[in-house]
Amino acid sequence: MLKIKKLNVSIEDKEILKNFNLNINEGEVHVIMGPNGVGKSTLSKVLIGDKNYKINDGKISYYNEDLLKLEVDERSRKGIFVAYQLPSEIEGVNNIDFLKSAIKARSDKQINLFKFANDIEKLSKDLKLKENMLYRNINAGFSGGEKKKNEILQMRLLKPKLVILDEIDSGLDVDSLRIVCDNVLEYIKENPKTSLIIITHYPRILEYIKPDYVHIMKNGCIVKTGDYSLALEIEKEGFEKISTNIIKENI
Amino acid sequence: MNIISIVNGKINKLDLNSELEFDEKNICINTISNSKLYLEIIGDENVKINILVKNDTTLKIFNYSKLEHCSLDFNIVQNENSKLTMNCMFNSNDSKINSLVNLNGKNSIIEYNSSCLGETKKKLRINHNYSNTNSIVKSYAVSDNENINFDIEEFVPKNSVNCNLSQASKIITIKDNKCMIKPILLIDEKDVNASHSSVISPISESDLLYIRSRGIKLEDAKKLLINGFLIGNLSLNEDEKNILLEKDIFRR
Ligand SMILES: Nc1ncnc2c1ncn2[C@@H]1O[C@H](COP(=O)(O)OP(=O)(O)O)[C@@H](O)[C@H]1O
Ligand SMILES: [Mg+2]
Repeated sequence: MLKIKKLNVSIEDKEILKNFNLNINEGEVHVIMGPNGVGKSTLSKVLIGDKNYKINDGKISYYNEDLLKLEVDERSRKGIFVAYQLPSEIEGVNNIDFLKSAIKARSDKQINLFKFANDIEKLSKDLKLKENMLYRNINAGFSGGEKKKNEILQMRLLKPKLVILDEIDSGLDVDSLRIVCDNVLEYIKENPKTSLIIITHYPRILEYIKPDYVHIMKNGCIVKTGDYSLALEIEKEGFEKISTNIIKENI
Repeated sequence: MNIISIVNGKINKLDLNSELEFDEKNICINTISNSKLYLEIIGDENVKINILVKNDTTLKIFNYSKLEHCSLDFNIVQNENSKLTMNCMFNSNDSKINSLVNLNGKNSIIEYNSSCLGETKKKLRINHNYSNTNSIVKSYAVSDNENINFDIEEFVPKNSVNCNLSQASKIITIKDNKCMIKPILLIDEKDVNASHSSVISPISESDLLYIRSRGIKLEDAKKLLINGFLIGNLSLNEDEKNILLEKDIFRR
């Protein structure tokens, strides 16, 4: 479903992604790990179409379509969803109006308000989000955990095909992490063709959501790919050790 | 709720209960007891409205004005222990909005929230003529391709002690244009609390991106942000918000 080929991305003349390659098939769970500042969030921003990141070279095809030609909102309507590492707080716009507009944008038909209200109510219950959060401004005054849950609520409501979870586990306590993971699993169960990219520092989230592939990023590209055991190795040894191995391998 | 609607300078609808006294000829509104008023002013004629908030009464005004090349004047007097809350949406096409507020009694409070859309010159002057008077002024505007001027002046004479003044103004610009905010605090008394902030900035790209990344088209995302900024920043209940949403103020 997603093919990233020789991608080069820079921001403010600084090269972040260099010769980045990744292929993802329907229904696969990919994990991307890597030290801070290596370009993990950059990848998610590029996939959703943030114009601040300049594509110097390379191709991304999504269901055989040139993704780079699509605007942000088109990408979302075609099924790409990023749960942001740092979701925006937006004054004045309440969550419900925002979600309603997002649903409306996906269909020519009138939105069924009764169904919408039911869906929202069920999802916020599943996520143990207080109902008044729906009527507050988007993420305004939400705790770190509530913001992340709000991202997952949007994911479940909008039914994407490619989900990128950018450090969804950071800032979550143990109980919230379990709730978030349960919701992601529930979503995948209902929509088994969904592909998942999980960006994380910790293997803890992978105890809940089992990955098919674990990729290590270094210097702007993927330097090593393995399975769940690679994530555990990283936790034990740290990124430095892994990278020295790679340099040796390359020699 | 009490309703006064003025279209092209003439009273169009009037539905008042005994909480308010109304002089139709001079457009004078006086409070008798605590009351709420929906005030609608539409058209191209100049309108002047006189408001007196008497001792120990509160008045909450929700105002929608759609003005075409004209001026709207508020002349407001407040007596002791009175509270006036104004929540105004001004949809203006090359119009002037002038408000003069005289806080003529101890412990009088004015809370003046307004949102503007379109070419506007807005002038507000609040005189803190007595001690312990409070003013909270929030002025918002969105400028698409028009010039917007805010002139917000407050005066505290000597011996008006322990007054609180707070002003916040913010204008969001969509295209390049000339907007100006002039906060003026004329204070002749040491014992006073005053603060002000003024911001003129383009629409937030990161907010737009967040909204668009959930599938909402650029124009709709802008509309959501602008309606949110203009309406969300007034302190209105859901019914009042819906009145404004139905006016679809953004598509003028
Ligand atoms: N908007 C931006 N402006 C300037 N530099 C940025 C911006 N976004 C990211 N960067 C820089 O790009 C690099 C990669 O950032 P990021 O993708 O957020 O890393 P990660 O998510 O892997 O921690 C960092 O050095 C960061 O400082
Ligand atoms: Mg990051």
